[in-house]
Amino acid sequence: MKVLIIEDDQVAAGYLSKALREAGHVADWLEDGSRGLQRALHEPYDALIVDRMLPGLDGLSLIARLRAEGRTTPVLIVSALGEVDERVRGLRAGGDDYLVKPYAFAELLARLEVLVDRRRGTPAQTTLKVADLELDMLSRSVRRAGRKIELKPREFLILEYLMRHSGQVVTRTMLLESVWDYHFDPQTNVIDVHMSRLRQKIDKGFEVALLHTVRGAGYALREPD
Amino acid sequence: MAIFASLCVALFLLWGRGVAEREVDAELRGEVSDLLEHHERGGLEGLLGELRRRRAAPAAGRVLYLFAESRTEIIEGDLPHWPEELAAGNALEGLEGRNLRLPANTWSYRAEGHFRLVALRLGDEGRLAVGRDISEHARFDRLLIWAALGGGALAVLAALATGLGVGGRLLARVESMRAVMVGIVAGRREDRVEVGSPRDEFDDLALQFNRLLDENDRLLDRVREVTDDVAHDLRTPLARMRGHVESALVGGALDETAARDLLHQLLDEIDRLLEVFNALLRIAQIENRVGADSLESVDLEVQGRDAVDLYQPLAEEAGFELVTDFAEGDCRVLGDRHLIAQALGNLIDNALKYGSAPGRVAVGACATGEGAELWVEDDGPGIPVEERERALQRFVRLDASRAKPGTGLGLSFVAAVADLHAARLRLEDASPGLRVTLAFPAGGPDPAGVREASDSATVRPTPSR
Repeated sequence: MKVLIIEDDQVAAGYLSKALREAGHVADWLEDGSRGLQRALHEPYDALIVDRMLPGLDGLSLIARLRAEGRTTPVLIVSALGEVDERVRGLRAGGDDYLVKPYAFAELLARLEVLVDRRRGTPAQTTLKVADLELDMLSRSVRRAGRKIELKPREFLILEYLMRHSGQVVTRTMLLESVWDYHFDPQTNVIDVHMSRLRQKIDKGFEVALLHTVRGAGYALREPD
Repeated sequence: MAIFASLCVALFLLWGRGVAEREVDAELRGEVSDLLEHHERGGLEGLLGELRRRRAAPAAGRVLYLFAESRTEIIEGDLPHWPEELAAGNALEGLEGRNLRLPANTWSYRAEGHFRLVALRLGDEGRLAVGRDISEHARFDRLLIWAALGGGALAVLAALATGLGVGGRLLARVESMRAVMVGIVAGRREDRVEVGSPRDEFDDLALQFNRLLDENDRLLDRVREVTDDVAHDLRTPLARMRGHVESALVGGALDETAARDLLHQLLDEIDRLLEVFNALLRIAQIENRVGADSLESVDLEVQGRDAVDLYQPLAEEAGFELVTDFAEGDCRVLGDRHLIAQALGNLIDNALKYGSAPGRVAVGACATGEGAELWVEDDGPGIPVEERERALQRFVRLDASRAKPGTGLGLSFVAAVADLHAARLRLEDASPGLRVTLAFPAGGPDPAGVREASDSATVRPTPSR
């Protein structure tokens, strides 16, 4: 994907561009808010990474102007302001996601991919399928290779999220946010225990594992190669 | 003060004198009116006859009569001639008197006299004047004037004396406060202003001043403690990072695996630093928030169930039975959902960390008369009563918990969230174990939030995170 980074911290932006390129993406970088807006308006990008505090034009105004011009390019806000209120403010201004600095690159990349993917639009589906794993949202049932798998309500939600973003890395905080609507990090390995239980249910006894742990980042549900 | 008193006396004098003069004038007008009757009945002769008769009466000397005929300027009466300053009015009505000082030997009596006179013109026949001795009034006036002046002077003196005395005392007390301040700035933090008894306004001021100093002391101590703790909690991961890097440098060339391991170790330590840092920052942000500005109706039962849902697998792995205990009733409160959820997470996490496995951890909520409560209870060792207050402090990790991972900020975070919601944070004995309760007031936070450590029993050692 092609990403525009609008960020005034040169070092942070440098690392970010490098990491994005290494992950196989194209990254452009601008320091100034108003120049960033011009570029975002005149060149097609798959996503924008916007710092909240910028010279020229602050991040939130930039996003608001972009939205006022009718652009729907996904925007990931990165900010040192970490309060829930700030997050709400960012999303209200038209941002699609909010990440507090310092963040792990894996977290940023995972969120960016989900944003871009969301925009490409997965049609409203009532069944999700990854390899031989099927999830029916109407009957709230899960089957693998035709065999019914019993899941607790929360496990169902976790699996649904993983399947919607199959092939992508899903971080622990993304799961906390989407499944529990918790915008804080409990620090303990609560999510890991949930994942190992889910893995027990969907992968145990099957030849190919679908749920993978991505070191230093999170989890991914993938079709076998 | 004194000047004011003198002014009052002078005003009173003027007013009193006005009253007396009006009375005398009325009396004199009565005399004139009597004489006019004689004049009407007996003409000029009748009037003069009456004048002579009256002047011969025993009361003479107190009243003065005078008649001057217009054409002849012949004077009948107590004065040798008509006083120049005495003007005669044309009508009896509203006739006002005039005060005259009559030097000795200028009138019928030898002594000096003070008279008030009214004069009336009787057509073209002449002028009639009647006077009344007011020397008593004059004496009284003089007395009053002297009293006023003397009193004023005395008052001035008294005021000066009091002023100097009281002022001196006030100055002495201000000076004592100043001395204490100077002492404190110079490092004598234990200095306090003396408070007298019985208390006056200055003692109250001194008392408040001392309280301010006490509070200041307490905060200074807290800052020192926190600084020490921050230093400890931040230095530990930093020291480890330094150790990792140093040993890698000493060890010669790193192969790729070793290098990656090193970087991962460093990343872990950095994350630990950030964890402490974020926890501190978050508490500070909550504590500095003026009021909870993102309030919504939060159902404590829903929060409790969600949290239990999240922690259930972890609790089971750790050997705990995590159960819910929700009472019937409406346990909704006005609050910040995210903060309450995080506080609850911290409490459950603490219970799992410091309770004893295998054991039981219960999460419950119930409506009370004064609002609603949310609580987490374990059946572990609990916290001794005397350590409870300390357990709420930042970075405090009671000795029992030093060995466990954690930042020592978990309960302080909960306490900060409680403050923001004007909720009470109670640490109680669950016999055995610890019960931590957040008691939310009905109707949401009001500005006077309180937090307390109850006397009843045990408290959780160190919060983590």
